[in-house]
Amino acid sequence: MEKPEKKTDSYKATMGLMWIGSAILLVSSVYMIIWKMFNDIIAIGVLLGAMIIIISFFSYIGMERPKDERLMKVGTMSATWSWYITLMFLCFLLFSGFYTPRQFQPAELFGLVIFVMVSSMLVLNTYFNRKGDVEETFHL
Amino acid sequence: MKTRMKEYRARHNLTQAQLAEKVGVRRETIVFLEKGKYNPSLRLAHDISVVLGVKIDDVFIFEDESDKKEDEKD
Repeated sequence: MEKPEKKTDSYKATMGLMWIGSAILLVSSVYMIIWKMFNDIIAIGVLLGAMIIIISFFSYIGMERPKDERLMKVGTMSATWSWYITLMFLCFLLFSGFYTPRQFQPAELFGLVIFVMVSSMLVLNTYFNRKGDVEETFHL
Repeated sequence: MKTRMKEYRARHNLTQAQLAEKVGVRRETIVFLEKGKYNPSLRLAHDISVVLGVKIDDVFIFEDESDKKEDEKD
């Protein structure tokens, strides 16, 4: 029988990159929320942050072998829940607009979406990682 | 799920890090497995049992859902 001989990847470097990418995106999103504008520097920040976070996230969940199945489960579940939370947040913004009419600037809205998506993914990823598993967390 | 990984690992004089490297996961995953907080895939359970030289059901003891509910009632 073939014995499994694999090596773990550079987890810390990947996690570090993910946090750096997230920090760049969060700073850019906060800028857009507060100043309601989108300029060249912010565009570079958003693109750079998104690029770093996407590359490191796929590396984290195991697009590059060898992979850790627990990290893949944790990462995938946190990304899924982050997507749902962002969708719910947008629905909330839409419905709250009926009762308290407020005009959102496109840059502000973009900043809010990025902020909610990135922060919820980081929080959920940290939570699931510390818990150990994603099973028996939410019973749908 | 209960596990006897720690016991078998000690018999083979393996550290958590060594076992983790052999099966291609991080040490934290072995820690959560030994605590019974993580349910491994069949592939990982198989890899661990191969390294420890025992059958899968000797290492991992899966509890029946009905037994679990009865335990919770008691």
